[in-house]
Amino acid sequence: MPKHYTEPFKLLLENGFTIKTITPVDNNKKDVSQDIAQLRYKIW
Amino acid sequence: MDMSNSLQEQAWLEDIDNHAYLWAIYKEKELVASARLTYHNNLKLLPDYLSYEKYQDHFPVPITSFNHLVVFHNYQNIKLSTYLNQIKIQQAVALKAKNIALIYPELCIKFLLKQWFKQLTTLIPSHHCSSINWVLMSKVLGTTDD
Repeated sequence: MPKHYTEPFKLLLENGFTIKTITPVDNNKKDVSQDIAQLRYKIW
Repeated sequence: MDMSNSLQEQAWLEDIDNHAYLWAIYKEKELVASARLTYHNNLKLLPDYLSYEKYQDHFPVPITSFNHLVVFHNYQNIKLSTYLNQIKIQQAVALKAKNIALIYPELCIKFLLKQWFKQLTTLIPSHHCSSINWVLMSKVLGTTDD
């Protein structure tokens, strides 16, 4: 976890959520980006 | 029926996603919220650039854009968007951007105003979802308030 995310990440974890981050150099998280694309489609 | 094609059609993925920071919040295995941050040295490459064009003087580069924040209906009103915006502000500061730009629903800008964002204008109703009033916001970085 990057240090600058610590506080909001901690609050989310304490409330039973998990969070995944994809940075511009990641190329191995296609499952997460596909999940995001489907959620956008559902909401919009 | 080809399910893979069907799923592909029911997704919204853009080329810029390949160059963006993306966050996904899960409750158990269900994705319930997501957000995107993009970083630009050229203002014209901002998503929705035409909405910003008249206000270029407010947006020095490098700039970060907050966009595509979505929260599933059942998980709204529990501050997930606030957490995501906090994370994005921290990421923008870490990237040493000079400014943050975003288009946001007018009803939801309370947190942003507390974080020293400024509302520049209300956009025409046809932008994105026509039932919502969207506003153009900016935040200057590199001050002691960050």
